[in-house]
Amino acid sequence: MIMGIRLDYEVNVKTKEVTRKEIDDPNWTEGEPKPIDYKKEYAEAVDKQDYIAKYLRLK
Amino acid sequence: MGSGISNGMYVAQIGQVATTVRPELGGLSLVAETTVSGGAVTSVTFSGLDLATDAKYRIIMNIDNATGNLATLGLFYNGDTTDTNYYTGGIGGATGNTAQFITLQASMSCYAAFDVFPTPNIANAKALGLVSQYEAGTVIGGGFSSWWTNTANVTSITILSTFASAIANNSKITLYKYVV
Repeated sequence: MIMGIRLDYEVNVKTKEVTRKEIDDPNWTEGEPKPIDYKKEYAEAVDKQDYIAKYLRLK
Repeated sequence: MGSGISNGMYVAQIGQVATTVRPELGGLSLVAETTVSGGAVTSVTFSGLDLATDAKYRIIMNIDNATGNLATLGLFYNGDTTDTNYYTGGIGGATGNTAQFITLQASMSCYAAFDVFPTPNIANAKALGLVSQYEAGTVIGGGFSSWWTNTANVTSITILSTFASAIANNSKITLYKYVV
């Protein structure tokens, strides 16, 4: 688990400068928000089409 | 009544309404195109932007998930990575209090194209576009729209993964602005 430090690839469109740098971002924690295991959910879903529609937020 | 070309401008008059079309000026203008190099990263940021002046951006992402983990990508502005400062909805779907637009499965690829814009009287940055992900046997596509709770002018756009170093080396992200 990585907390706070994320590796950013920044392109400044004014200066054209590209930098790779670590940013101390207190809002970012690896894995947060908690990812959903969609493959597991899909496998367990009784109605596959209904699940896909919900996954795509069609309903 | 009438129509014609004058000084490169096509003017068509319909009743009392005059419509002016300037086909030689409209279109997309490349702001920046970047290919991630030096290894996978957690986020990609375009800085030095001015949405209030440029009016509308189009951002196109061609990203591979470099990890064997789920990696959710979100669209953020001005370094505001507080997820709950954004609202997101899919096509005809429920709204979520998040900036996330796709959850990439392990080692899957994502292609997305979004417009980022304010509306005429409401400064909050909004986004609208399409997003997809691909792997053998599984292709998922859908719509994406989002709204930032902040009214500040957008000066940077960040694509951020919830999993470290998920945006693979050689992922390509291109930013255009609309020219009118």
